[in-house]
Amino acid sequence: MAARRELGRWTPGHLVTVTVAALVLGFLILPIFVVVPISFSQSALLQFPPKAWSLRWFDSYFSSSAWIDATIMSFKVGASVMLLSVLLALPAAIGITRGSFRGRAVIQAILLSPLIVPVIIIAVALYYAFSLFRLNGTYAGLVLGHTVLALPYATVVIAASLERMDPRLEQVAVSLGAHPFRAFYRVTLPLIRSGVAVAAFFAFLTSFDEVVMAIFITGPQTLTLPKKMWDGIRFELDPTIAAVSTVLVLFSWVLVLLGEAIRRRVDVVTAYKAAR
Amino acid sequence: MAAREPQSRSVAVALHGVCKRYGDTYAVKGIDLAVSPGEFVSLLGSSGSGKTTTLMMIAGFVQPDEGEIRVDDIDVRNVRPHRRDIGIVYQNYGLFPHLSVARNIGFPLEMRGVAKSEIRRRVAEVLRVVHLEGFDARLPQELSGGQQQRVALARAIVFGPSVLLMDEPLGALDANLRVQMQAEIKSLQRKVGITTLYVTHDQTEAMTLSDRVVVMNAGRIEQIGRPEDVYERPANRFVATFMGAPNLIPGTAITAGNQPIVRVEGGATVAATSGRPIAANEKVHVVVRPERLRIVRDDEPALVAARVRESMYVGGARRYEATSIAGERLVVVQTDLNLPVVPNGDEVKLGWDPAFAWVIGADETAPADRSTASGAATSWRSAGS
Repeated sequence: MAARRELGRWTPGHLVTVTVAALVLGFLILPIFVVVPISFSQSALLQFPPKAWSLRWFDSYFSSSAWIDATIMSFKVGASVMLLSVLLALPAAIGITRGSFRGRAVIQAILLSPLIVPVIIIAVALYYAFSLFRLNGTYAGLVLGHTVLALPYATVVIAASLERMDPRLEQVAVSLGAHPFRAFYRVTLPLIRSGVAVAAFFAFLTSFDEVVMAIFITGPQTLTLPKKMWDGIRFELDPTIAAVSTVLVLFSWVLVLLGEAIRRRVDVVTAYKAAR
Repeated sequence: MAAREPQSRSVAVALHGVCKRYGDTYAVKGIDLAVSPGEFVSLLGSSGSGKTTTLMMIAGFVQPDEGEIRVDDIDVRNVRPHRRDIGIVYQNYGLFPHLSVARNIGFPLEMRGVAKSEIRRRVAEVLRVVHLEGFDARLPQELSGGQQQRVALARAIVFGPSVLLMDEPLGALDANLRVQMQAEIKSLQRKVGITTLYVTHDQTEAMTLSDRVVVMNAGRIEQIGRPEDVYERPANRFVATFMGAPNLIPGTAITAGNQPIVRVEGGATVAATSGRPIAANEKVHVVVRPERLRIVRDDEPALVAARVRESMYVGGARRYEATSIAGERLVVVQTDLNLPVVPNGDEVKLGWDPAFAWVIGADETAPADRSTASGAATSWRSAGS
């Protein structure tokens, strides 16, 4: 109410803005309102709205070793992709932001190209390339493939936090006797750690919900959760998928709220210290 | 070179023929400078004069294209910056925002593997020196600008570096705090006795702090000298103007030597002093500082006539902008406020005490003509200190 009063009287412009915003938000969030009730349905059909309620599809998810294996696989791949992406993105971001070598712009464009190239093209290309090295269906292949997709995000996020930092601080550290590597570890890294954390988070999520590439390069030994869901929709349509979706929605909410809580805590501490 | 000391042992920092090019342009073009141990030397110049580049070459963050840099008589060109043992203070303080005051100051000691207890002791000691006892646990953002600058200073000297470099360290402070910090820096430098190179574009600051001032322009040294040298006895037109003496009265030398008699425009003759022998009939400029130029009464001998264009009260003094009969700009600063105010448009007679009349050659070019006058540049520098 307070915010509405601050905006003053409702003009036609306001009405249009609010209507469009409401439609967009509704479009984004409505699928969740369909899938969550279905997951609590008793029927074996994808029925909306459900006529009777039960937890049987959650039981079906948690007691199925195939589903749980796929979940664990997704977490393992996500964690590996996260680690690899951050390890690669850090030096890449430093090169892009601090370097002054020839061809820097070209390298930057190549690094960021997976953001522009359609995933399906990268997936097909990787499928052929991996078949030369027998990487299709392997864990390493899947991690490499997902890292290709995650690396641009991680690089952009870390580069942005490096841009915000005063590069003179590294120079000061060196002038005070720190070897450049030590200056990075003791000064630069602590100052960009929130950027690194966000990059890691994005890298994990990129892998965790990736299905297009997974369709091409996963095998029976590397079945991830999104791939398993994809197969589920195609072959054995039952509400277990809805239960899995509900769990995933819950999981992402927890992650987002956790991230927000950490950010706020940092902000509050900073604000408090600045005010003193 | 006049600036080079004969015994290299008594030199803390020495630059010989140092050049730095960026593409085709010289940022620094042939710098020769010798700084004695414990000396406070300012590099004074406007932006683009090469003063910061020179500092960064001593620190090791910029590699010279030509020339030699010695610190404590060691050629440092191949010494990596973190091994040079040089303290640096920047304008933005450069404090590590994630570390407390004590951790900031202890950083250089930690990097040198000093024991924790010893670090604590030395940090406490240097905090006393900069009057910040009890601030050890604070974060930089909890301090005022002046306090942050003192922490930066403490951090730059705590490890006993051979040289302290300061790049416009007071640039971010307001005027009153600047003056206060100047006094603190000066007394601290005297107490610690550390050789200091100080970059600034502020003439007053350079003169207040320094044993010697190096006036730089377009990558070259225009003059090296004690503050009173560059202020009262500028080597050339650039230094005179830059040091706030725009009064360049054209004339012709009647007699030769270091104490020539000069006939100035309007016909009056005046005794003056020069830093180099002047030839008879040489075209010269007589430099008279604004506060030495006097508006004389009608019954006194006058040297130049001028018309007042503008008079301003500048706090403790009155400043007249005037134009000489020959069209030269003249500035008079009158500290005796009991004298009547001359209205704009009035013609006045100006005079000065011959002791304060300084002669430079008229062909000693304005900074814009610099690149074509490299021959003259060499002779000016010898005239310096």
